[in-house]
Amino acid sequence: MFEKEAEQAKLYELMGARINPEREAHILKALEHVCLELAKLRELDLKDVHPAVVYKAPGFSDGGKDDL
Amino acid sequence: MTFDPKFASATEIATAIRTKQTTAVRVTEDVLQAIKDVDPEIQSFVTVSDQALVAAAAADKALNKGDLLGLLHGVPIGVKDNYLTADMPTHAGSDSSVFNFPVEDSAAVARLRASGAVIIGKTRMHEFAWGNVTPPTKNPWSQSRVPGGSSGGSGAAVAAGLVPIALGSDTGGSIRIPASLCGVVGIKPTFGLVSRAGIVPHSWSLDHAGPLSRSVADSALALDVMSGFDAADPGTVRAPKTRLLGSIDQSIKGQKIAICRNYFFDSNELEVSQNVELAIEHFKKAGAVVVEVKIPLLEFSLGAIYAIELASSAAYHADNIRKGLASHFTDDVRTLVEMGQLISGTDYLKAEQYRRVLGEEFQKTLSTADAILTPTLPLTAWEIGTWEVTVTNDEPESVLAASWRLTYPFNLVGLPAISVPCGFNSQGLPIGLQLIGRPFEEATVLRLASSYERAHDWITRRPNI
Repeated sequence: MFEKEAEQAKLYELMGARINPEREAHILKALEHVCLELAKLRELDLKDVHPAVVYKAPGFSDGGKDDL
Repeated sequence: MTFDPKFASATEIATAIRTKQTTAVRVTEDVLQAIKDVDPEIQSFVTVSDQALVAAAAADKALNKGDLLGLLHGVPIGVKDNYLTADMPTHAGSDSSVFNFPVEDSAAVARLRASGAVIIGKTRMHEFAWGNVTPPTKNPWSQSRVPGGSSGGSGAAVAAGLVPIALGSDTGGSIRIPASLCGVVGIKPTFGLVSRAGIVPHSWSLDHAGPLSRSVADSALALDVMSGFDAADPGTVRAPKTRLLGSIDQSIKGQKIAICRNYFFDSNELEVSQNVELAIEHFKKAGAVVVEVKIPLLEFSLGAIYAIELASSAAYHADNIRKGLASHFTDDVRTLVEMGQLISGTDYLKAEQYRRVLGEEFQKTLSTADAILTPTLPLTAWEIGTWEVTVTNDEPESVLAASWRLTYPFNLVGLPAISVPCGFNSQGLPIGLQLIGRPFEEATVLRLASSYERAHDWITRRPNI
């Protein structure tokens, strides 16, 4: 059992910094209104929409006005 | 008669120095004295520069040799504490000594200095730009109330007449919110107009840099100095430098202004609504064409900005979290930064998809209208220590949710948005009017704001401090 937990902890660590479950519950409770807004956004069907551009290949951006 | 820089505009100060009615040193001494007199109560500055008088003396020396450094020669300016400065430490609103930032000038500060500005000090801000309260700064119009945030120190310093211009940054409304609550002008320019290089990041694709000022003209002047391409900020565009100051007094006759009744007028304090309706009447009388529009899907915008802002903030602070430094944040900021770790990649991308749709909706409206008019905030300054407000007869909501509702949509879509004073409520608290324009058409919103400003006397009123 210990080995399994240790392995699990290692995997969590590999996925980035973890917040302990108690703290996580506190954050979610404090920011419940944020959770509700995120859930609402999730209901929107946007599968055919390309996300706003957040990346430009180096050397290919001329900084033109169309970049907005 | 001795020239008094307190409550003077940047143009008046620059003219007085240029025409030798006063000197940059005398202006700086007066401003430093005013800060000593007033700021112990307002607490708008976190650091006052010990190099300001040196810079002012250099400006005077240059002028005596016939060298005018630029549009802001000798003009005192405050800088938000998230702009890096070479002569003062940067804390980004944190009281903790564990967060360290480079001691060098941010791009915007460098441009101000090159234009002759004297950087007076660093203004207080909500920690890491994550809030709308800015403790311990007080609102000059009512010291039991907040100045707003996150650029609250800049709003308070300008409202108190300490400096004509102070820099702010705006990720969801952080220039326009304190501008509205403190009764001053604040403009978030188009994404890409002003470099953010050297500003402590909060959310890279939402952050904007811009000025707060007492007058519309001074915001135009500041943008003329600050704007322009900067290779150090991948977001800036290769647009020509703006020449906004000369265009703000032009007629607004025939300008088409869109009023979006859904969302922006759904839940506002009565006196806010009344003053904004009077502003709409002003524009009609001034010859503008007012049209009513409906912009769909705005009710999803809060989830979208939360997903992007929270995730981005957590990404910026990932190293701080990994090193166990989260405990050095104040509680409210720590909760928000850690919440960012819980945002899923799919939610983040959903928000970016939504952002494109929302941008297209605003583009549709602005293809037939020159500007959109809204209140800046649904409410006026709230009492310090209040964390929930009831704006109308609806359910109580967090001050964060209520105060940025009308400003953050324009961070998602990057459009230029200005807040201009729109009168006072019956308690003497300032109300703000917001005007939004097409990308890179700051001249339009400044012209409309200037028309409104010139037709009212709000700018002449001063807080009792």
